[in-house]
Amino acid sequence: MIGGDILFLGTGDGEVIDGTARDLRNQKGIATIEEASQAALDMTHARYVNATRGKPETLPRKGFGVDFLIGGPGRNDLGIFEINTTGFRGPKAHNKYADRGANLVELPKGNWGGSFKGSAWGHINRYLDGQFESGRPIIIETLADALIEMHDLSLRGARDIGVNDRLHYGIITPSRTVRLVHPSVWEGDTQAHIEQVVNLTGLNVAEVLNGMDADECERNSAAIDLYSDIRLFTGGFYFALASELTSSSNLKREYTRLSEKSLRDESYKPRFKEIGRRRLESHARIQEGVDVLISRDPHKLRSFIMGAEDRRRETIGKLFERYASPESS
Amino acid sequence: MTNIGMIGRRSKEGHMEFITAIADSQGTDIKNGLREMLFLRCI
Repeated sequence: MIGGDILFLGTGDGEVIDGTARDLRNQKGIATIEEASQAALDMTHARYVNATRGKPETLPRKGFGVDFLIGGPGRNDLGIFEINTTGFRGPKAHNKYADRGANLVELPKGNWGGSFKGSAWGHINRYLDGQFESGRPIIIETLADALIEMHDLSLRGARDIGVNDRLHYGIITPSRTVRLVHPSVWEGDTQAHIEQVVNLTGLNVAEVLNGMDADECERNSAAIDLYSDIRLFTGGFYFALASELTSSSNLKREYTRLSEKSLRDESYKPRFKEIGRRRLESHARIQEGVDVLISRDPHKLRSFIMGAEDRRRETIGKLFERYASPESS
Repeated sequence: MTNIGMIGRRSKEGHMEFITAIADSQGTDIKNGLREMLFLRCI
């Protein structure tokens, strides 16, 4: 596998995360998550040694826990590494800098597993506990299942005071890695941002977009205008997918509610069945969105957006047909 | 702080089928004006 297929996520001090991401990108030749994990540990160590004048064990504990998740192709298979760069785990004072390190996330055969990091972890854990306690299993067999659950888990995480709900999605498959960035977020690194946009759309725009930093009016203006158009395109896709994920989440909740209601009241059974059908349809549309994202085919991307637009237009049309007063002339 | 997560699915045969990742975009460094840092990167 080649570079560009490894996803790097960080939580904690933004400067350390962004600096490490930049250093990893610039270090050529990293092809596996094992290499990326070791490089991230080496880079953060050098950074902490420098910041603490040679005494990284004196890093301030309060508010300073920097953890990474690195996923992608490994030496043998796809995998996920958790990286604790400071050795700190929670508020307890006995954790030491020497405890820092990388840990391969073990996933059970024939099932799913994973890792969450950051201040939102408590919210996510409580949500997961609540799901299991109420007898609702989280089943992940397809990429659509995974994306739906990630979406729901992350919105619970957004209840944390330090977390917003501008979600970025990443998908790693044996053939390729893609990410979908919230439209209102701009990466500080222009080149990385352009690569992300080009990688997502599959459009032949790299040459024009390279003018973003050009000190020449014509090239610069063309790049900015083009980026604006592309943002409309990729933003349309983001919101089409996010909207379907929200629908799926609502349908899942309604399905669980109706499973209880219909047990006690027969009249709810047809509705229960209907919601189940709609849930499967929504699941299929999300799977289509995932496949489109992985395909990097601009025509399929456009078709997915247009499909969502058509459904929205139809729903609003029906709503107005039934409930809106005639328009005054 | 922030929120990041990765989950993966391993087949019965033992190979990883896929991984999904999620990240929010708010950093801790509000004082440095880095509220909209992007914490999900391809390297």
